[in-house]
Formats: sequence, C-alpha cells, structure tokens
Amino acid sequence: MASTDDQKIILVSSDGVNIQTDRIIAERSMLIKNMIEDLGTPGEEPIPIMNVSEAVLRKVLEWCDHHKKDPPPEKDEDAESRKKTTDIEEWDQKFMQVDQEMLFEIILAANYMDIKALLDVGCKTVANMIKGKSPEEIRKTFNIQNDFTPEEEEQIRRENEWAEDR
Amino acid sequence: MPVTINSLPNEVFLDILQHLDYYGLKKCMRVNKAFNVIIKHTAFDRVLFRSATVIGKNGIIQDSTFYTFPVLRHASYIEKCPIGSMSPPEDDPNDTTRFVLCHWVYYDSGDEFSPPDLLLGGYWDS
Repeated sequence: MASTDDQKIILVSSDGVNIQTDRIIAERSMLIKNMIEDLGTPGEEPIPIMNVSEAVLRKVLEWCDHHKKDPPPEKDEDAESRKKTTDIEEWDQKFMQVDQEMLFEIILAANYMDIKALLDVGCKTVANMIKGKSPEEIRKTFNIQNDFTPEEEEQIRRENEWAEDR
Repeated sequence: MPVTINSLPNEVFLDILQHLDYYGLKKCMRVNKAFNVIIKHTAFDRVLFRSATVIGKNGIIQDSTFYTFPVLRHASYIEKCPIGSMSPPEDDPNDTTRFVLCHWVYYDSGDEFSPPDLLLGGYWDS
C-alpha cells in the first residue's frame, strides 16, 4: 500500500489545466486537505481549484513543496510565530519577489485555499512594502489613486489627531 | 481588471494592516478612501489601535490607552494580540503573575521608551 507521502493527486486550475502533485504538498492547503478527506478516494478524482489560475496555482504549489516538511499549523501557534513583521525567512522572501499582481494573486489564492502560513508571508511582505512610507509613496508603490477631494484631505488631517489624546 | 491592494478582501487587508504600528496606520488613513474607511471603522479602530492590555508589576490591570502608555504606539496589533491570549504558566496558574504587554523596567524608571525596549508577552520573575 502506498504511503500518504508519495500519493499523487490532480488539481484543476480555474483555466482548466490539470496539475499533478504529491498529496503531501497539496495538503498544505486546508481546503484541499478537507476535500480529499471528504472524497475519501485520493488520487482518483481531479480536484477543481475554482478561483486559482494555472500560473498562480503552480506558484502556490512551489511554496507548498518547499514547506511540505513544516509541522502542521497549530491552533495557538500565532502567538510566537507571527510576532515580528520582519521575520520572513530568506527562501520565502525570494519566493515573494514577484510582480505585484502575482503577489496579490498569491495572497488571494492562499486565502481561498486556506494556507495560513503562506497568507501570513504574503501579508507580511505587503506590510513591509507599506512601512516607513508616506501616503504618497504608498500610492506610488501600489499604483493607486488619491481619491480624496482637497476638502476631504484637510478633514482627514484634522481627524487624524483624534487618537493622540486617548 | 488588474488585481491591486484594494482588490483584497477586507479580512486580508486587515491582516496586512495588523503588522503596522500606530504611525504606519495613521499614514495609511491618508492614502485613499479604501484605506481610510477600513482603518477608521470603529471595530478596526479598537482592534488596531488600542487592544493591548497592560498588567502592572503589582498585578493590577492598567488602562492601556496611548495616552497612558505612549509606548503602545510603536507596537503593531500583531505584537499586541498574542499577549492578550497568553495563558498562565502551568506551574503557576495565578493570573496576577502574568504580564501582558510589559515595559515595566522603563515604565518604572521613567526612562524614554523606544521600540526595541518593548518586551512583549511573558511572565514576571517572582
């Protein structure tokens, strides 16, 4: 009998591409893990990953492959492991060096596929892109528009003082 | 439509903001309406700005606002959050020995606070 470790499963991306991978890799995703458990016949039926395109799915699986030996997430692990924003291990940092659209696609996929550790790395990466920047620099970084009117901006500047004296 | 930071669902966006401290959040409020609304929302206001508990050296839970504890401005929510959920050590289930957000050394001596001085989570040496 094949051990769980080298069992193969097939995932189907949102654009209809079949991707074969190891069960142990795919099960970093709680969504997939639960689906496999529900199906009860791993490997036989392709598993559709509705919201994730092939390119993004491959990228996510690359991360899962690298982290397949990580201990499974525990309920209370958040306390220690999520403490420091700057704590992103080197491999993950390199992994996240992608264009912004891919970065956000990975975050969305991690959220949808329920891969908490990957979601966390993604969020930390974005938080680090925000840190130490002025509002204008943040807009430039993320290519987003200032949609406030001058009056609103003035209002915010005043409101912004609200927390000072609490 | 290209995916941008503003296409992320609120809970994910909030996850990101939780890594920022008070100063970072204040700057983000001025970026655009999407940033502003999510940070200004009262529920987030509480979560992101003020949800730290400080237990003094004497075991009394103290008021933990920015006014009484300016040092909190340097801590992100992520840093504040695990502390509140910490359970007491097994060999000493007495809650009063627990400190939640601790900078008592500096607080007691009246020195200036700085971010590296933040000692987050842990227990008193009794």
